[in-house]
Amino acid sequence: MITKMRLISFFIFLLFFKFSHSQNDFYGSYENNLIYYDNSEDSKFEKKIRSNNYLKLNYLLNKKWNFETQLESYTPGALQNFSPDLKKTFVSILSVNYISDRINLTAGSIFGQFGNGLIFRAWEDRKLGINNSIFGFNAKFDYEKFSVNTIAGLQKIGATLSNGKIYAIDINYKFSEKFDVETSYVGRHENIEFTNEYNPTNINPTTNLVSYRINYIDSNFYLNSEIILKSKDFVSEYGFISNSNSKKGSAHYLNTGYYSSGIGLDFTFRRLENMSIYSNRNLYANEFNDGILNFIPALTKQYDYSLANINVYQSQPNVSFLDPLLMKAGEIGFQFEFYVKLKKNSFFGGKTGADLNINISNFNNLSGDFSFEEKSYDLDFLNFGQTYFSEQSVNLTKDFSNNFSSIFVFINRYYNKRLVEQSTGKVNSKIIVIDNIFNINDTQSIEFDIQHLFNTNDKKNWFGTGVEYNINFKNSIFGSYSNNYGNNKQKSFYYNLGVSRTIKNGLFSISYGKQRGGIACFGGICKYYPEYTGVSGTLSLNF
Amino acid sequence: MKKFLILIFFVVFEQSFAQSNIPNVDLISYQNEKISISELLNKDTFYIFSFWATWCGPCLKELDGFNNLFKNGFVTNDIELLAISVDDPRTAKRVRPVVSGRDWNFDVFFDTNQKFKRLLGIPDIPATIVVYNQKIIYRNISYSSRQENEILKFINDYKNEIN
Repeated sequence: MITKMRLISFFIFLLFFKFSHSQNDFYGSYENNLIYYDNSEDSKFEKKIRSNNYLKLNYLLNKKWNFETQLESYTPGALQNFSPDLKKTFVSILSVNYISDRINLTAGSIFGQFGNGLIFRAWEDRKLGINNSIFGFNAKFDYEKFSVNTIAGLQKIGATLSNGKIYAIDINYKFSEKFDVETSYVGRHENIEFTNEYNPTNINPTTNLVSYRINYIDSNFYLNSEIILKSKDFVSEYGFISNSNSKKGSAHYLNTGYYSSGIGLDFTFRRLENMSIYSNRNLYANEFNDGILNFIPALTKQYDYSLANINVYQSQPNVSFLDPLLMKAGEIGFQFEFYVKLKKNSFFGGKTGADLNINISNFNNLSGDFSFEEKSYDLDFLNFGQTYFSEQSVNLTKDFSNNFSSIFVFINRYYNKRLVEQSTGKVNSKIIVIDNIFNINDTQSIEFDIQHLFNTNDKKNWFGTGVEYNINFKNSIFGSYSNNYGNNKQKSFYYNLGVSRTIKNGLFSISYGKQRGGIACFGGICKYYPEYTGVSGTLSLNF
Repeated sequence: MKKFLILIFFVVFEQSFAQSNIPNVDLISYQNEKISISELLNKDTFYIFSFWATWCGPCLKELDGFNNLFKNGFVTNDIELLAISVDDPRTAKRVRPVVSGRDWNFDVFFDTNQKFKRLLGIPDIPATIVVYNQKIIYRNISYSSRQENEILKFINDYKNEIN
């Protein structure tokens, strides 16, 4: 019923645009991602065309009102490893927003985040198939040094809405321009249905999360700290919940940094214990990120290069008792980054100068006494357990002349595949990348990179390369190749060749290739993609 | 599917050449102050909005390029660059160290939770729009080396056209 009503509203919206007097206040976009799967690791997709389509419309009225809607179409079906809830055509966003100096009111689809998103974040990421907006009401008020943000509604899951009701409030008080304090509450109310014989009478269907934050920033220094406490919640295993397995949760976060002309430092510490929360409990730790209410990304460095994206870390906020040697309750770790401009004509910068970036990160399981039989644990607060992931990397960007520049990357990485992916093996790898840009003239350029991954275990050594020839600012040809030549058990290689063209108000690209499967991450959120060979195309338009 | 495609053609090609007004949303300034787009924009100034993130290599290249042009006096006073960081909470903390570390000298803003990017329908970064008198007069997604020169050329041609 709600789906039909939203579809009718969408068409009314469309007609309104069509006959609107002020076309300048109407804008929107269309995006199509299409793949023809010639061959696929997932046999359901072989010899099939799949496409994800998004048509988005906005209308501004008197600078005070904003009407927003989005139609999504997954016909003949969604791309590989998108949620099975994403099917056919439906209205995914529909909202009316009123803005004045002190009040901001929204009815319909609500996006937003509290603090770092650790307690609440509703956002859209089309690459991951995430749109976890809340369909309900949102009111924001600013009054002198106070600002208050309240949300109530049901969460969008595919074309439907969650069973769990969501209530949230965020309060900020600004002591000065430099210092403010914040507190948030998020509640999820979902009536519980048990799958076993245990008596659920004393169990509260509402799970509560409370966050306390402080933020300080001046012209050279910043500090941001957050503590979140989560009330007892059920840990779902294999999609079922049981009242014999319910745990409290918490998050501790500290980020601080120093910055001044030519130099920047950043340090983050984070401890998570049973911190994921879903609008429907049975979605706990699901592979499509359906129903997530908070944002718990991996805090490690993200790279553009294909071989650097093999064995990437995924954050570990969940409780898991898979076997007596594989028990997890969360993660503890840190990330440190250092940026410096090496000045021209200096000892390190040479004649043309350079930019240097150093990154160190380390994430571990929580340390403590675990009991597999009782599915319980007694955790140490600050001790580090087994290492999930550690990494040290150096990135140097250097202009050699006006027409030639390079980026040198070195990564030393340890990845405990058994602990993180619940599979087998520990990986020690070293990755080297040399990425170059050569400007042929004012409009033409060639970018080419060479990559190598040194690995004595897991899938052994890889070689990779990529080339992009920019014919002009509108057209480019690109290709890439990677070869797992060190893998005696199963040698494999991957390739991709394509063209892209910037068109008026948009972009079009098409490519053919064999794509490596595995875990891919966007913005620190990861999911598994099966390997495939096929043609893929993207069209995006703005209007 | 057929109906859906007809709908797209109906909307997209009917409207594709209109100059849209820039939506008015709140951004967070480098000094951590909330500021709306309408407060930021002055009349008769060209604003280059460059959408970027700390993890996006081509975005850093584009902003390095703009920084050199601005620093070396190749840009007239009626053109301003506003670098809009769409970093999510995971990487937003790195924005200030990156900006200082690369010695950039233009205004940087935070598009917290990417509302501005979403409203403009920007599918990916790097993306650049140019705004003049509240209207979007240029859009570009992706970056190729020295594209910043092309954007400045577009603005200068536009100036000649309206004068």
